[in-house]
Amino acid sequence: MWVLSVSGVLFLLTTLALVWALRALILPSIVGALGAYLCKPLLNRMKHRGVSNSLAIVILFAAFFLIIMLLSKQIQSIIPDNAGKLELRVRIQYRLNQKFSQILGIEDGGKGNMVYNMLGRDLLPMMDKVNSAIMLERDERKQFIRSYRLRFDDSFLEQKYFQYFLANVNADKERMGSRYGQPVDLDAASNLEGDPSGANAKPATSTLTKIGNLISIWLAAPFVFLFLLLDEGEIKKNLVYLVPNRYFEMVLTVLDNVDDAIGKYLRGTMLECSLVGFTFFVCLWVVGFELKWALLIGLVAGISNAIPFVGPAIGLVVGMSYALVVENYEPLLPFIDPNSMILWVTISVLIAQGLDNAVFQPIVLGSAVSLHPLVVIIGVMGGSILLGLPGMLFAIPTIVVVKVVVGTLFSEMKSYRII
Amino acid sequence: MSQSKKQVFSAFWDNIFQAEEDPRKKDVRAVLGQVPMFSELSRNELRKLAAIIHERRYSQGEALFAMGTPGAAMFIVRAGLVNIVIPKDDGNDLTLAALGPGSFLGELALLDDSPRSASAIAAEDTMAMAFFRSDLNRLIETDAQIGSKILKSLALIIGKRLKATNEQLFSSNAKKNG
Repeated sequence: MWVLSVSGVLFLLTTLALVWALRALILPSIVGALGAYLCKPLLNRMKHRGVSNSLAIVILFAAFFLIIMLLSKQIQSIIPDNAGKLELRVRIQYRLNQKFSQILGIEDGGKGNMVYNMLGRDLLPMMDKVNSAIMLERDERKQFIRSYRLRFDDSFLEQKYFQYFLANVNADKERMGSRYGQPVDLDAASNLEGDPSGANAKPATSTLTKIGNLISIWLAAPFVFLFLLLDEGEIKKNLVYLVPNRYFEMVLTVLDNVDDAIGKYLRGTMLECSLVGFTFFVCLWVVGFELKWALLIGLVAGISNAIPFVGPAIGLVVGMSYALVVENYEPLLPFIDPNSMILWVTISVLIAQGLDNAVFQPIVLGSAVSLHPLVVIIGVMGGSILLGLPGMLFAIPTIVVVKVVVGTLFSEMKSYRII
Repeated sequence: MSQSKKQVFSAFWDNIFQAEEDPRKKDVRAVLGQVPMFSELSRNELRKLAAIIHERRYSQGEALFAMGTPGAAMFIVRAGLVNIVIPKDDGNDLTLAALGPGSFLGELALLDDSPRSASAIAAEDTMAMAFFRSDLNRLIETDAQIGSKILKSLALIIGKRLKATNEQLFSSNAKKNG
């Protein structure tokens, strides 16, 4: 008996160690499996319309690959290099301070409005902390000046974002006093050796290696997707084969009920998130966001919408951050004022969330599993504590799976007189 | 193309697209072909059906299903013997029928999950194949032709049984009335 127990424990430990060692493959496999699960009804529909199994799988596989490639290409084109990141921080810091001064009525030496009088004491130290977090350090300032001199030669001082940089430096000096440190000499900074883009050789190599590793790991996703779509019930058959005869019919009934409920929930949630993301994208595009940015922010808002309560806030924060940084808008409607873009982003979020609650959810998630709000809140918080953002994203689907499995299992065990 | 090249090409083609069928699956297909409910299905359709059939082994005395439990699958006896019984409280179960290889039982479970009207007990070590209602429903969605052939055969079988029951009822009434 003890031999069996020791073997069992050893087997369990080996399995856990193996899962831990291969943990990098878990997320790509989940993405591939989720894709296959969501595409299964499409495959069935195509087969029903007379498309052969192989052709339908090839079409779905190609579509899956195409979507993943297009999305990753779009995201890669938007991610800035090191010099771009420094410029972005300069713009964010400048615009943030500008908006903050406007809201408090302290711009251009103003004495402050009602908000300043009421909340100024609390808000100013908070703003100092934000400034300290995003301001450029001495080396970064050198890098920024060097990249601008190389890009614009002698006209670098006249560039708008360089003016922002100088304004930030002056504001930081004023704010920090002696703690600010030695100022950077504009001429000396441009003569420093190094890569003008700010990306030196070492990080470039490591980035390449990282991309290589990422590609090889993410190759698992299309393979999992393909083989799960190709499976015609063999996986389920092999699993069910292990079930004792007494529970055979019951287990298959439970599996089917669970599959049905989870399928409805996941497909419904995906459709709902897509509709919210699409609505947000259209609204942002109409108010004047650049098309590719509207698309990316819509995508982020759509995905994060899967996280109850927190999701809409993420969409709002991302949209507002963009509205804060960008200055050139081309609104499609004449009455939209580019100076109050934050207000228009808020209206866009309200439209997307209003439509979600009034139209999308009742239609799309009508008969899918529902959870008590308290369970949802505790689930999202628990997921966040355990695994951060991925934990928040996967918390609710996991709870839904557990709820459906336990509920169906109990009801079927009663029907089959096992309990 | 030379003969040897043809052979190599053919082997390559067979390896990728027409791999040799597993003998066990071939055997399952052959058994299914003998079941009246699947007699209308072509060889390729039987192959598709065999892919979703579950094979089970039962020891003597083990139940395939119990009276009163919800029906989810139809069973086909591949080898061995299955008794259809009505369990009695005193232990003297009433045996209604004994079904051998090629017979099928519990076919009404393919229509709905109403409780089983009798129990099925393996009278000896038995090999059976189970065909689930959920799989038939999926088949109707994806392969309507196979699904409709099976449903048509099922309707014919149930119709024949109803006819036989009516005749039995009629003859017993006739006997009663003189």
